[in-house]
Amino acid sequence: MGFIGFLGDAAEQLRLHYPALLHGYQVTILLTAVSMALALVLGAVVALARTAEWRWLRVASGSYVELFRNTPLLIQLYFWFFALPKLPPLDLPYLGTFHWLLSSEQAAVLGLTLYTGAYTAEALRSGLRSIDAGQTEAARAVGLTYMQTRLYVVAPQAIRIAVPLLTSILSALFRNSALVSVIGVIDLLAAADRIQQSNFQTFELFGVAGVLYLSLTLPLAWASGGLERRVARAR
Amino acid sequence: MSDILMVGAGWEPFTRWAIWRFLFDGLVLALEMAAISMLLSMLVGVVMAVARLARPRIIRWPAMVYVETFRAMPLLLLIFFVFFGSARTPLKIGPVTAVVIALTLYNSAVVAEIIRAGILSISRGVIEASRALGLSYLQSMTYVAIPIALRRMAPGVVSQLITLFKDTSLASVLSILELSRSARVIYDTPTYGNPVEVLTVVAAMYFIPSYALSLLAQRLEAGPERRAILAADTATATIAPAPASRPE
Repeated sequence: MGFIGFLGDAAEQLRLHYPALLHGYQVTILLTAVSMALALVLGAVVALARTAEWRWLRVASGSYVELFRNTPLLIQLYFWFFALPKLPPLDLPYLGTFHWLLSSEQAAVLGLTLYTGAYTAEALRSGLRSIDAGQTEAARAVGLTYMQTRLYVVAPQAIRIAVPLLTSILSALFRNSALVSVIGVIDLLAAADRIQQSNFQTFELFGVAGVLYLSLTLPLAWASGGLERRVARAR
Repeated sequence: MSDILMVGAGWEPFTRWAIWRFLFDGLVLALEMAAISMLLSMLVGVVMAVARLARPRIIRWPAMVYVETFRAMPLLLLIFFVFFGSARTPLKIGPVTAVVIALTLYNSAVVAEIIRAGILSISRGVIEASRALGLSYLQSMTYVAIPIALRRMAPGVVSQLITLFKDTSLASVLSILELSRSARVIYDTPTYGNPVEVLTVVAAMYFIPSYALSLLAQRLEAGPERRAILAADTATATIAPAPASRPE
């Protein structure tokens, strides 16, 4: 009885506040989608750099990955939002003076992208490393250049192997995106929090928000498991 | 931008012992929260992993719901839920306890999956082989199966400990004076106003233990014992030809 009553109360909160909650839901999805797209590009570049023939590229990309994976996302978000504007403005020729001031949303996208990029880079690198060296040698022997070999022979196979890992990284990004509320972005969690601070329907509102988060993360968790089995079978 | 914003105390506060003391206290609290949560997560994780592998549905399904739900929830939501939620009930939970509970809910679900994968990774052949050698069921479990499983779980548990340690920074939203909050307290002080310097120092204070743990995880992942176990396992699982002796 108590549980049914709770569900009724939660539904009532959703009915009363759905514009704000759905707006937060959209912000969470949009932030995650943009950051994931950028993190994939960044991760691909970094993964290629980490497995490059040139040592300085490997060292630079490796430092980026270790630095961003081993410090909390919260500290990184604080840095982009609170510390960056304190840096001296940059005088660029022709373009004028550049101030390091970011809006909450810009700092959120930057922070999520750089943090997640370190993880996508590692996922793609593990894919790259699982491709047999014989393939690269064969491609080079056939006359493909270094870049052609990497882009047309190795990369497509590596991506396929990395897909399950990338899926769980996307799920983690949905969860991590909840942190942007600390720098003032009104995402799903912040929307629910604002409403519960005014009407004290704490369990109901966070319950609704939790179900909305699960609607994004659970399908990805299941997809990741299924894809993993498929990749394992295909190999 | 006005010049006032540009003026900060810079690195000057770090010449004072009190500032370092304040930050180290925060680091110790973060490490304590991570350690306690990890111990609790291991306990809950073992129970959940064994429950998920049990045959009766009445045991298996609740464990599955627990693991799948808490693994898929944002940690910050769990912290809010436990802390602000408990404030609406007669039992008032303090902020540190609330964070430890929330960290444990999330991490025990992840650890349960690591343990389950470790148990599932032991091939039947290894146990059969040890039984064939004359060990009792209990002996083959305690001396063969469990040591192999533990060693396989070790890298996963260590990397989860890194995540957990980084996640203690979320406690700062409840104004707990752990490392991240301490950093904010310092650079929000009007006479300091030096977030670049403070956040750089604090990032290093998070980085050093995390990176040390990640090196440990790598070593556990690729250690000689693990390679030997993998070789032994595949040898028993399939009818493998006698391994060629490698020059070492």
